Amino acid sequence: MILDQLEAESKKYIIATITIACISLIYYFHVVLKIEVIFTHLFYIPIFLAAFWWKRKGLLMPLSLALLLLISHMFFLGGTIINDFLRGLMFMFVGMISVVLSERIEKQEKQEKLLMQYTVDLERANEEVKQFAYIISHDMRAPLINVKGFVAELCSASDAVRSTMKDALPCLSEKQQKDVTIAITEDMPEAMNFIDSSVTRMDHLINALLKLSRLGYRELQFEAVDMAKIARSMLKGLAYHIDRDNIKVVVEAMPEIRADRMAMEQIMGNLLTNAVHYLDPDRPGEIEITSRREGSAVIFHVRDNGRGISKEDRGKIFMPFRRCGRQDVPGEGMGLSYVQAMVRRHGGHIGFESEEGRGTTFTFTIPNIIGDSHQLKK
Amino acid sequence: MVMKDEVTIMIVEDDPGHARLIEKNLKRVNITNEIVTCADGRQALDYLFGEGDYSKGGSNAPLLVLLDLNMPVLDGYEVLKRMKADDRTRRIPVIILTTTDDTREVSRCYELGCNIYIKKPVEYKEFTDAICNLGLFLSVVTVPGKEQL
Repeated sequence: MILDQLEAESKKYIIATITIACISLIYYFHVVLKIEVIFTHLFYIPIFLAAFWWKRKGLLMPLSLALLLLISHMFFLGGTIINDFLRGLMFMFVGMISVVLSERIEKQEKQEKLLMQYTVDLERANEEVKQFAYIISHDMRAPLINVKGFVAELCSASDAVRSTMKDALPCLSEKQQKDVTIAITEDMPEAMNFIDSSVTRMDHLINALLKLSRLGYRELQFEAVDMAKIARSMLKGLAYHIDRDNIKVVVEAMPEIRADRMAMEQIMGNLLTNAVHYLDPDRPGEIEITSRREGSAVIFHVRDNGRGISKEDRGKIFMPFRRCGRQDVPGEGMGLSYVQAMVRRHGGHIGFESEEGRGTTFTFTIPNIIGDSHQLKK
Repeated sequence: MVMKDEVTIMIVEDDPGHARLIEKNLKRVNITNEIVTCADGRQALDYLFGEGDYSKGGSNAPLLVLLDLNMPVLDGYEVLKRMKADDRTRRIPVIILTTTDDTREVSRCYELGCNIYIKKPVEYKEFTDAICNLGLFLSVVTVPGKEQL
């Protein structure tokens, strides 16, 4: 506010000037011209200003003006004391209301500022996490190349040793022969195999993390998307399972949304794949995709009557690399992490309700902001 | 056919393991050129501009640079940028050889004027293939001579 920028000192002078101006004007009209009109109310100006600028301290202004009014009437001007007393009270009342209002405004401004600060902090933290994941996943790759590379070099070196050893073995004692044979035919290949397969696994994990962090900054292409159509095309990819297990699938008509098509396909694809793969083999499978509009957003439900998610697993379902329940389907445990990241990128949120042995319903919201999508692109 | 032997291959790579693996695999496809290894961007620029440790005068042979991106002290982008900004080094072919294949980084490198971008695969078979192919490719490349200033 401009008023805040004024020095406290200059505020004092402004109030003093206005007060003196008011008093002299009132004196002039009241005493010299004998007209008692609106000019009495000029006193409200310094009262307002004082209360707004100095809050409670500013109440001294109406108090002193009220006293001035009373004293001057009592001793110099005559007139009705009761009227002036009431007017004095009125001054105090106006001052107090101004204080309350200005304090409320100030509080609101402070909160807004705080909120803005939090938003900025949060965005920064978010950016840092993104950067961090990105750097980690890149820099972790470099040493892996060495491990992989030198294990391979070691392999070919030990191949060379092995083939030469065949001819050299007869020169050794029986015990030495046995030790060397075990070392070069069993222990060394085993160790190198373990190193190699661990590095491969590590590489997969890093790639999955990298994909997750890339989802965070991929430029989204917003377009009109028919989720029912997407769901149906994703279901086509799962047709083999659906036909084999005789799964009943219902896809309701859905409102069109503005979203990134690829992201929506990933979301639907992952949720439906989970639903199909984690059905309960003991009862006929049912999957139902519904939606409803709520305000400017659209809420989607993907319901199944599958195995459900146990209470202990519920907290970690969206975490990367976590897989819950009985695992009879291969996967890296990243699907729902990707889904959550994509829903959040669209400014929506995702949750689920689940009962073990009864089924799970995933619910996600996509804000449908037509024409304002550029804001979300960030 | 082998790339003219007087061409020096400069490997700018902070990871000594990577540098060694690159060198090994280049040798496998009969690249017999002199190979210089620099551990960071600073050292590479010193070599290129004959400053710091190389102020007594480096080699005068034509160069070809294999450049890593993520390096301490001075990263690959900076090296590339400074090479392309200087008349003495502008024409030296630069091959980016890095762990990243992030599209933003790839396009940034080409924008800065790199000649080729190669990703180091983690899988060693692919890594050897990539480097060996690069070696075969290098053997038919012609490199401009050192600028005479």
